[in-house]
Amino acid sequence: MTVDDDSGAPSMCCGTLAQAVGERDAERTDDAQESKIRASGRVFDIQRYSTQDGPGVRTTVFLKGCSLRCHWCSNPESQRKPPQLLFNTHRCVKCYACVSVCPEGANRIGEQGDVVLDRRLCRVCGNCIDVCQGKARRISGKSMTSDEVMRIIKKDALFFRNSGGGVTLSGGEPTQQPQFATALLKSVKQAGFHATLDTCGHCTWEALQKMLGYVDLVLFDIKHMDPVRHRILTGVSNELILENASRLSGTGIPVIVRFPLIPGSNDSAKNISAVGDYISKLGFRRLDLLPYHKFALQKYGGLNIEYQLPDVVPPTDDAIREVKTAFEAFRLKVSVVV
Amino acid sequence: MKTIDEAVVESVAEESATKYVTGLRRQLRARPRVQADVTESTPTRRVQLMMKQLRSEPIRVSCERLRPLIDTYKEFEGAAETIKMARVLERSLAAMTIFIDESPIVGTITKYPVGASPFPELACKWMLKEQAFATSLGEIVVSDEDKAVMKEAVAYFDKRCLWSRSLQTIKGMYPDADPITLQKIGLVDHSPPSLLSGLGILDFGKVLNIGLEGVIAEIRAALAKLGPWELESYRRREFLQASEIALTAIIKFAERYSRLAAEMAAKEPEGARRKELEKIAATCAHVPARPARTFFEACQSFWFMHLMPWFEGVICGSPGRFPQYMYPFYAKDKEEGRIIEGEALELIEIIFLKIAAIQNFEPDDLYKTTQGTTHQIMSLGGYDANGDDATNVIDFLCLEAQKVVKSAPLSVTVLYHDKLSEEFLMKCVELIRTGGGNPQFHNARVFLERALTSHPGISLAHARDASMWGCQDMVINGRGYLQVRSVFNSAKLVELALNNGVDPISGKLVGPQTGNAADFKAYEELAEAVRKQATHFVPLTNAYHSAGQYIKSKYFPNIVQSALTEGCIDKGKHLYEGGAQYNTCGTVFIGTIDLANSMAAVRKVVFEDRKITMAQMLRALAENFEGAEGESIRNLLLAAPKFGNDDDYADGMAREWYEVLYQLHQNEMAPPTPDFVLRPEAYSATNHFGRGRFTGALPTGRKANIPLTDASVSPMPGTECEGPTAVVNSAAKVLDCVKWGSNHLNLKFLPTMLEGTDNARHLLSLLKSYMDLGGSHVQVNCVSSETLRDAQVHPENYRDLVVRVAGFSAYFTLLDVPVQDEIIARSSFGWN
Repeated sequence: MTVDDDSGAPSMCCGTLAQAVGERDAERTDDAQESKIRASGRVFDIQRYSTQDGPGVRTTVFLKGCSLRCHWCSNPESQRKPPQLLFNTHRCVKCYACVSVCPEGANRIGEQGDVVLDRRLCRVCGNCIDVCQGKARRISGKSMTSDEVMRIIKKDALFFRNSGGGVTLSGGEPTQQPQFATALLKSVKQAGFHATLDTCGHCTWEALQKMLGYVDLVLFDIKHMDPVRHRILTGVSNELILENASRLSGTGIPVIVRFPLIPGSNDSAKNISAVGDYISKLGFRRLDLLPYHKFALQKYGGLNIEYQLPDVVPPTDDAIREVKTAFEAFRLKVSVVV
Repeated sequence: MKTIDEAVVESVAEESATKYVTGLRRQLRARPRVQADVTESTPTRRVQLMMKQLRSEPIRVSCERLRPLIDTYKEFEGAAETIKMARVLERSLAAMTIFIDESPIVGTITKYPVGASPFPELACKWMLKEQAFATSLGEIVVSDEDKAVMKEAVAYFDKRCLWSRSLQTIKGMYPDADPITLQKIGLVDHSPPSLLSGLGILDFGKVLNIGLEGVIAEIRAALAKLGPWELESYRRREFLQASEIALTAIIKFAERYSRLAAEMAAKEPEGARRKELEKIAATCAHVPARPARTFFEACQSFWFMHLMPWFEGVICGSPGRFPQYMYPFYAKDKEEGRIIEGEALELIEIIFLKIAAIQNFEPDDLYKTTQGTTHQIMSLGGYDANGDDATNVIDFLCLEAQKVVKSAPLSVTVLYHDKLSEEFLMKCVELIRTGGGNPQFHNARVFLERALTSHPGISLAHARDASMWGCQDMVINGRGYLQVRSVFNSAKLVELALNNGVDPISGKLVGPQTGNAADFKAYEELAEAVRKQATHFVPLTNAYHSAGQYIKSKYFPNIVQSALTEGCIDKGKHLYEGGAQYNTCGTVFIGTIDLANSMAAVRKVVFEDRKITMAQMLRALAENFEGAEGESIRNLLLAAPKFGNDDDYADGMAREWYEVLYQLHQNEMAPPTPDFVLRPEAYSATNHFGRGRFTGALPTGRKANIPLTDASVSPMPGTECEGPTAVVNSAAKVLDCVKWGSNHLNLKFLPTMLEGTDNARHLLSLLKSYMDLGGSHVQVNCVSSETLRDAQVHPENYRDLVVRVAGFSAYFTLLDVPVQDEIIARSSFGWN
């Protein structure tokens, strides 16, 4: 729904989300709102006219929180569930408005005259955002009910109808908020829209199974076939993921496997061949190839997280073609998503 | 207003007139899918040569018409103006030095391959002031010899020109009027009213089918009916005689080319070139006087007629529905084995190149507004008379030709409807991908609804034959006239309301004193002040232009265009008098999104959230947001709701202000004659550049003197946050395109978003949805990697470029340079 504010566009995003979200906070609401809370989740972006997350023109809802920590993650602000403040220091104009406005004293003037944000003190209240003259700050993550999300989704109903599109639930990792994700998918199906789930597959089968009842297409990430290597690259083993992939194949729901192509991490001929072999044996017929890109670098800076792959260069045209051909050898229909 | 019965009688009577429109007589049956065989072509050697020449040829001003112009004016002083204008045309066509180069289609507007002619009778003083003149293709060259005759012309027309006479008329009506000040602050058009008067699409089909001799026969028949009794019949007779003089002059002009070709052929040794010259000689001896017999003759006949507006001082002329009137000639040739598709394609490419060689000679101020464009717009697609898809092979060839030659002054538009074939739409996307914003799309269904509601009694066949003229104006092909009364900058109204009627740029009190804005206690007080400014200025500035229109109508009738617009000969009236069958008159409103965004920002930031006071905002605007406080106020204003995000707060504001302007336009003004319907227009063309220069800082957060928001329903640059579906929803909701004569939406896409069949389909579904929602116009600009590189150097001009990659989106100009480089690299290869 918003162009990434991190990119510093004067924050002109007009408040569809802000207005819809209001001041609601799960912890503070009373019992009467119990059911509503269950249907409320943490969303970090809603992107309309998404064209690469399933068929047709889609609205992609990005849920915040992920159990993986992939080195190449292009949405690092999606990894943790709570709202986070992004502060792009290179855009700071040193007006120090944030220093005086912060109730926690989390912003202070450093020795070089630069603003230093102490994330241990920051309560992510957002007071510093409005006053920031360099538009260097934004918060990622809002609580929304599925009704609120549906209201935005329905704005594009005509585009879905004309394009054969629909809604994609992505993240972060949507299965990390199973109740909300299930409720939202249910609403999407009730509205008659095509529903796609974009998942890394790292969740209990029970959680996944509940959602699959409302899903027309699954985009299922497979990153590496070697469990040890997988743990190094993503922080978790791939056993649960592969088990879910196997179970998913038995449901008959259409699946597109998504493979991020990360030079030096998972692009060895051996891994490509292992992935191709595994998924083709499961009966999956389509694979999306997502070549590595560095577009997210600024966001790492904004979150003050170290980027794990500073020296990796995006794969060349030829390298992509080679991998594509390798996968095609397994009779997979391969699309390159750029 | 005509009754239904009269309309039926009339449409029966018009049956004979409609025979020139292709497809009218076609029987109702399922049409076969049409597609051209040529899908990927390379230009022929001749086309390549012409493309190269066009780019290296300087633009020159030819003053050849000035001598006959001055002499004719002197000789015919006191004669009827219609006759005088016809004689001016006749003599300037006779005096022009003609040439034949490698183009098989002959004819130019000056003695130079790329040239422009001055029209001092319209406005002249500026011609002495300017040092250098510029056009879209570069600087204009004026020779010293030409400068001398120009001086003489300026001296002669100083008090006689349209501009001077208009000013005299305005001053006579409004003794206190100060049109020059209003012009300097961009409220009155920065050009002679003549240039904005608008016209229509002449009836090319008629010329191709019955020839100018056929039209002259019609003129004589009309003359024969005129009796000696009515005063009116004498004036009509003058117009009809003038028409015959003008059309005969065009036939003679063509015959000169015929003789020249024959002379050249005689000197040429036996061979291909000689044959070609002989063909040119034969063709120009035959058309446009008589009906065209082949596609080649039709091309030449069309071309002579297309040149004519530039001989009569009009700055734009549109070919209209070219494929519709050209197709029968192609089909016949094809059936009789005279032509192959590639030959037709080459001729179309040559016409497109020759279109690019037409230039205007205009003052620098006007140039800053027009950006040197000649606004030649060709309409493809659309309905036939039965409401079926009218697309034929020529439509495909036009898309292909534009893809190959990229004729910038020519704009190709598609009259969109749901019956267009998939092949045709995909071909459109193919052209979009090459950059340049071609084709644009206009909504044929909205055109139909608009035509049916604008012109009581119009026949369905005529209503379906609407097409594009000029910038974004709809006219009925060959039967319509559109008078653009003025271009009005709505954004200026906010400035005047915030400054109690004082223009901040000149410091002069120009408008009504609507109160000290610092004292306003509620949004409604400001809204009332803006409404009062609008109520004052919209009718006043249009009255000035209306005076100009009167002068134009009285002294500068346009004869050729009138004679070839259905209705004029019957009525014996020229276009400016309402001679055409379907007449529209309207003001073009620009800057209305800036007005709406300003009002939304003030309401939200000052009156609802009370983050700043009105006084603080006024100070920040006066100082153009300079300084730390100014910048923080600007940020607050920028963060306020903005139109284009599918958010009813700002979109509702745009809708409301468009409605205020609509009501003013319809209720406070009157059409020039009962023949006209009033209909406001909403497009910027290139006026947002020109008017932006005279508009100070606005509560939208926009700084002073930079361009206003483009188009009429595009979001302000850099404020589009919700993606194209939101833009489309917003655009379609703020303006009733049936009531208005136009809307205007520009969308920008990076090449990666248009690559491959899937992305093409996504784009097409976006277009269809916009049309379904009732949008009237959209132009999809595919941003080239050259543009992206330019955006790296001049980020301020490209704030609205959005990059979208799977799961990631950002403003291009705010990304780090290496990331930008990667995006540029991605734009240049295709995967799917």
